[in-house]
Amino acid sequence: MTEIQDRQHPLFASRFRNLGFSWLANQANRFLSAGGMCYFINDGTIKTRLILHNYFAFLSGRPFHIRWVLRIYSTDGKRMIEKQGTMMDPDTQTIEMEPLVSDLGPFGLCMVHLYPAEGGLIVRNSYMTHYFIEYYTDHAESLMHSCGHPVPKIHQVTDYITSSIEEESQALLLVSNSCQRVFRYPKSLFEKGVRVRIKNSQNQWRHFDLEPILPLGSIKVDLRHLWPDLNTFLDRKPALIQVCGPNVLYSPLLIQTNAQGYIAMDHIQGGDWDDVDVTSAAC
Amino acid sequence: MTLTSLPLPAKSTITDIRQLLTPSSQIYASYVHFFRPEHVVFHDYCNMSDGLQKVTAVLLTVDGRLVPGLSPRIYGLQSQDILNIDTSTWARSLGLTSFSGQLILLVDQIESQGSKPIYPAITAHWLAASHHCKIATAAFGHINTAKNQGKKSFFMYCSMAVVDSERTTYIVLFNHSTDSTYQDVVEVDTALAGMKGQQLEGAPAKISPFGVLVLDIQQHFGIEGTTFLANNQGHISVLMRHRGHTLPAYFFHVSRKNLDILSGQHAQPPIAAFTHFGIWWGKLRRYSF
Repeated sequence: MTEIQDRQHPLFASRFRNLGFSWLANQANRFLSAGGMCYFINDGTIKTRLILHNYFAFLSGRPFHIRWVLRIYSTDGKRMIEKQGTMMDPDTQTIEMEPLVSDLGPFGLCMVHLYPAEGGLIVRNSYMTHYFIEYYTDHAESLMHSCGHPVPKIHQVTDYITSSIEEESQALLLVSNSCQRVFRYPKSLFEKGVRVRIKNSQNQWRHFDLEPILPLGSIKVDLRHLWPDLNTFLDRKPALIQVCGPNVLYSPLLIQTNAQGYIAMDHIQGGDWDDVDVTSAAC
Repeated sequence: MTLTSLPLPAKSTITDIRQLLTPSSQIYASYVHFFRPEHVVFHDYCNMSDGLQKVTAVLLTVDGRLVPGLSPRIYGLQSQDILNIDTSTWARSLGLTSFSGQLILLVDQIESQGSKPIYPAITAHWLAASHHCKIATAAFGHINTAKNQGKKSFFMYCSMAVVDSERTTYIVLFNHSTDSTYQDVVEVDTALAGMKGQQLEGAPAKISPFGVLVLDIQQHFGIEGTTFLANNQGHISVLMRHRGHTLPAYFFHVSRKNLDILSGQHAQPPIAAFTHFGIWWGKLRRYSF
């Protein structure tokens, strides 16, 4: 017993309550789970695999039964496929996305929920899911963690990142709309697009307005196509890149690749998150 | 870039990073790794606040000492000024031909117009001949301070550890504080978990105050680890536990042939998954139409 306590995170047990009935706990945990989102890429060059780990067992210091559910959304967010499984020990589950996503488009959103499945145990509050993602080619790889979760509420987001863009690289931005509801998506989501802004070290700004992104849909932006003179504009110095719009998922991915095949990715930081009228809020 | 002139400390007066910490300092730590001429490490930062910030940069060894001959670099950044620190060039200018250590950035808000603060986020880049790894992470406003000393727990997992003929995995942990009197040595328990949950305990690892642990999975777990890895096709999870402190963490896939950093990411504390927003009504409130 002492050994288990030594191996248990001191806060872990306090996060649970026993409802006594597994069927009731299952429903409650599904309601409380916010999940965790990421992007899949399957564009013929870059492939994706998800790595789920049963951190419930790690935090509890003993085997802990969980259920995982993976939902993968098409590029337009209108189609979805689902996979499920269970874990007991501090297992690691690797999921290759290529065979799963061939009909969903070259990129899109994935959502994973890890649910406790230990009798009547429920988490006492809303909770997220963490996992890692590996993007890879024949020559290179890039690692990422899950970034945020969908919410039903409409909000205005301004995300940002400061990063250098190598001159010989392709520079892509993956942006998505993380609004998820069971019914009645608001009209404003289909009307207001996303603004991408970039600032160089001389404090000069440029921007580009994207069309509205459908709920759970994704869009890929080629920064060099938007701004063919990007290298001249940045002059080998870092850029501040901002993405502003309704329900932009925390967080967009900035992807750089080059002819040698490297993949360099970073996720954009969440800056502001305001519950405002998105139809009138300016970026 | 508008760099405001700020007073520089006299070179001889700074012998320890604790002398640079102020009560308002936010601390950011990054791993600096170069072993070959083509290895490049640099860091990008933009002052997203509404006023002047002072950014103090220092290079530390793995055991938390200032790199010999180093003078801290101090930058004054107005709102939305962008800073690029060519870290490997800086370290090489101090006579280092190879280095495994740390870059510390201390961010102090000097002026503010009262807007909501945004924590500083820095993007670190590790370049090699055919690889480019970058990781964006934020600075800490309060970490391992006298107030919470001994009260925190650090449970970290890396489910992407790989050791094969070409790659090994480094786990990088920082024992830092925003407290200028901090001098705790921490000891971390280490273990490997196989793809089906089987576990192998490793020797505990110690980190000196303001030091960094760079743990090569292949070396740390020895022959037993090699057998364990072989039984799991080289793909395993690394589990690290410690009670008392919080330790910012990264992990990297590193080329065994030329020590190129191939890819990496910062760790996610798994307990944070349960300490998110609100309770039931908190979630219901988010369903406003």
